[in-house]
Amino acid sequence: MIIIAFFLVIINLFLWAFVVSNSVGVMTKQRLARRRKIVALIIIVFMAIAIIYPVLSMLGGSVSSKQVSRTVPEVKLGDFFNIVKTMAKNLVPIEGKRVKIDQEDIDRAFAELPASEGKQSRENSPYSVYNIEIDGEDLHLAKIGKVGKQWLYMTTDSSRDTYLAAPASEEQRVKAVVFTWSNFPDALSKGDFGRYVINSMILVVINTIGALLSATLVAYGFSRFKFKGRNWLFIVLLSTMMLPAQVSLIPSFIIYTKLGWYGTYLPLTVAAYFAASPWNVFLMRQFFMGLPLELDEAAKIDGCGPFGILFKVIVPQSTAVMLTITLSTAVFWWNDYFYSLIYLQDQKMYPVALGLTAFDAKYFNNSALKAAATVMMLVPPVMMFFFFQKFFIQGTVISGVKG
Amino acid sequence: MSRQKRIVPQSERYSRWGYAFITPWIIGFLVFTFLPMLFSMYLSFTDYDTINTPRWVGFQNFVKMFTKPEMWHSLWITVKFGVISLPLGIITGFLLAYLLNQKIPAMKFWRTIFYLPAMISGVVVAMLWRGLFDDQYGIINFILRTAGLRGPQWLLDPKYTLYCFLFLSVWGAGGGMVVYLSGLQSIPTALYEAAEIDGCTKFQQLIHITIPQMTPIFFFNLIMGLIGTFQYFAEPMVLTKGGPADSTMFYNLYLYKHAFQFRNMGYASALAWFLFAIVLILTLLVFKSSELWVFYESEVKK
Repeated sequence: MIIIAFFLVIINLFLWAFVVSNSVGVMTKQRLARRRKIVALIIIVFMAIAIIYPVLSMLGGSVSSKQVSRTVPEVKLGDFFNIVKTMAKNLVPIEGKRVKIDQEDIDRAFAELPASEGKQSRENSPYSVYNIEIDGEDLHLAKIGKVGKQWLYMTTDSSRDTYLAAPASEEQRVKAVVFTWSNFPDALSKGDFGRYVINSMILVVINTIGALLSATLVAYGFSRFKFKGRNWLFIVLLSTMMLPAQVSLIPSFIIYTKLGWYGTYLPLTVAAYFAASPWNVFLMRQFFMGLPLELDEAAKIDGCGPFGILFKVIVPQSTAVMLTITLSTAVFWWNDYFYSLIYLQDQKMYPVALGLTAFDAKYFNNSALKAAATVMMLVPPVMMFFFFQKFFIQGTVISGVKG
Repeated sequence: MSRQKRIVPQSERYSRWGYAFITPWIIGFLVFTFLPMLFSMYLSFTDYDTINTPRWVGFQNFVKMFTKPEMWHSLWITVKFGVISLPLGIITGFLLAYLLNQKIPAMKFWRTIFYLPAMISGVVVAMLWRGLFDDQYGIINFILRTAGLRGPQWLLDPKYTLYCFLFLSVWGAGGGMVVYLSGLQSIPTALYEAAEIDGCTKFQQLIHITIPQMTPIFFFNLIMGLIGTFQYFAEPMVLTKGGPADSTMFYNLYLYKHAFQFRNMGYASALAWFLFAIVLILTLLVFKSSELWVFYESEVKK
C-alpha cells in the first residue's frame, strides 16, 4: 500500500512537471524549466534515499557495539566450575544442532554441586547446543540441567567443562548502543574474515592478470590480422556471450573433479587465461579497432614484429580499456559466490562472499560483527566505482549501447 | 570496416599470426565451452552420480523432467519473476536516467548511489535486506505498522517470499540507468531542436523522439535481463535457500540442488539443456519481434 502510494506520488509529481504543465500556456519557459528541475531533484533524492537506506542501516549497525549484558553475580562453586561473567544476549539454541553426552559425565557434574540443588534437564541426550559468548570467545555448549535459577552448560568437546549461566533478567540487561570501530578489527581477526579477504585478493589478482593477458592477445588477433574465417570465429565468440553458463557447468565440474582440482583455486582461475570472458575480448577489440593504423604501419616499417607492435604501439595507447577490464574483472571476482560455492570445500580457502555466509552462520547472534563484515565486503567495489566511474561506464556503455 | 580497407594489404604469412594470437581463445572455447557442451549433451541421456560410471538411460531424464511438477513449479516462479521484474526494472532505470539527464550538482555522487546495487555481490544484497524484511524489527513492517496494517512474515510466508525478490530487483534497477543515461546523451540534439520549432511539448518529445531512439538499448537490456533471470542465484540461495515450501525455488537454484546437492548429474544436465532451449527461444522471439518495435538509425538512412 505504502509503496503504491509512494509510486503514485512520484508519478503525479512527474506528470505535473513534465506533462500537464505543457498545456498551461501562461508559464514562462524559465519558470517551467526550473519547476521541472526541482521536481526531478525531489524524485532523485527520494529514490536515492530508498536505495541507500539498507546500506546506511548496515553501516550504522557496523559501528555500534552490541547489547551488553551486565555481569552476573559471581557464585563460587568449587574449582570444577567456571562461572560465566558475560553472557549472550539471547540464549537461543543453534538450529538443528544436538550433541550426545554420556550420563556418567552429567552425573559427575551434578555431584560437584553443593547441596544437591541441581536438577537434570528434562531433555535427555542428545542435548540442544547453544552458542554462548564467554570471555569474548564463542563457545558451543549443551544445556544439561538447572541449578536454582541458573542453567548448567557443558562443553561439547571432550574436555567436558561445565559452565553455570543465568539468562540476564530484563533489568540486568544494559541496552546500550555505543559508537565503536572495534567491530571491524574484531571481524577481521575473529571469524577468519581477514583470511577470506586475503583469499579474495589472491583470486582477484590471478584472474585479472589472466583476463588482461588473454583478452589483449585475442583482441589483437581479431582486430589486426585478416586471416581466413576471422569473421566467422568472431561471431562464434559473440554468441558465447548469450550462452547460459549452466550448459557447460556440470561437465566442467566433473572434469575438474576428475583432475583432482576440486577444492583448489584452479577451477576458478585457469579459464581466465584462455579468454573465458567474451565481453572482455569484445570490449578490447572495439577499442583496438578505433586506434589509428598509421602508427602500426610506421612501427612495421621500423622493423617491429607483431609482438613489437602489440606491446610498443597498441598496449601503451590502451590504458583506458585495460583499466576498464581490470576493474570489472576485479569486481566480478571480489563478488563471486556461485563458482566458489561449487568448487571450494575448505572454509580456510573461502573468498569473501562465501566467507560472509559462513561468518553469518557462525556469528548468527552478533549482528554488529556481521554488519562490519558486510560493510567490509561492500565498500571496495563501491569506492572503486566512485573513483573510476568513467571507466566502468565506458565498459557498460560500449557493450550496452554499441553492442 | 572502412578503416580496414585503407590498410596496406597484408601478406598471407603475416596474417597467419592472427591464428597464433587467438589461440588462447580457441583453446578456451574448445576446452571450457564446446567440449563440455557435448559432454553435457551426452550426460543428459545418462544417470550419473559422479562416482559410478554413467549409465545410458535414453530420454528418461527428459521424461522425468517434464512430468515432475517441481520443475514446472520452479520454471513458473522464474518466469513470473522475470515478467514482472524486467519491465519494472527497465521503466525505473529509464525514469532515473531521464531525470538525471540534466545539469545536476554532485552527479558523481548520485550515479554512485544509483549504481551501487549493481556493484555489490548478491550475498551482500541478501545480507542488507534480510534485516529489513524481519517481521518484528524490519523497517518494512515498521512502516506498515505505523500505517495501521499488519505486515506479514515476509521471508517465512510462502505467499510473500516472491514479493521480497521483486522488491530487491526494483531496488537494483539503477544498474541499467548508466547505460540509458549515456544512450540519452547520444541522441542528437538536432532532433529536439527541430521538435521545439514544430511546437512539440516535452512529453511529445519523450514519446516520439527519446523512447524510439532508446529502443535498441531497451532491447539489449531486455535480452540480457532474460538470460540474467534464469541465472538468478545468490540472493535466493542466501535469503531463503529456495524455501519456504519451495516458493522461491528459482530455476537455477533447482538446477544447483540437483547437480551439487543430490549429485543427479544426468538430470541436472537435462535441466541445463532445457534452460538453454528456453533462453534461445526467448532470445530469438525477442529478436524477431524487435523489427516491430526497435528503431535503428540506419533504417532512416535506407
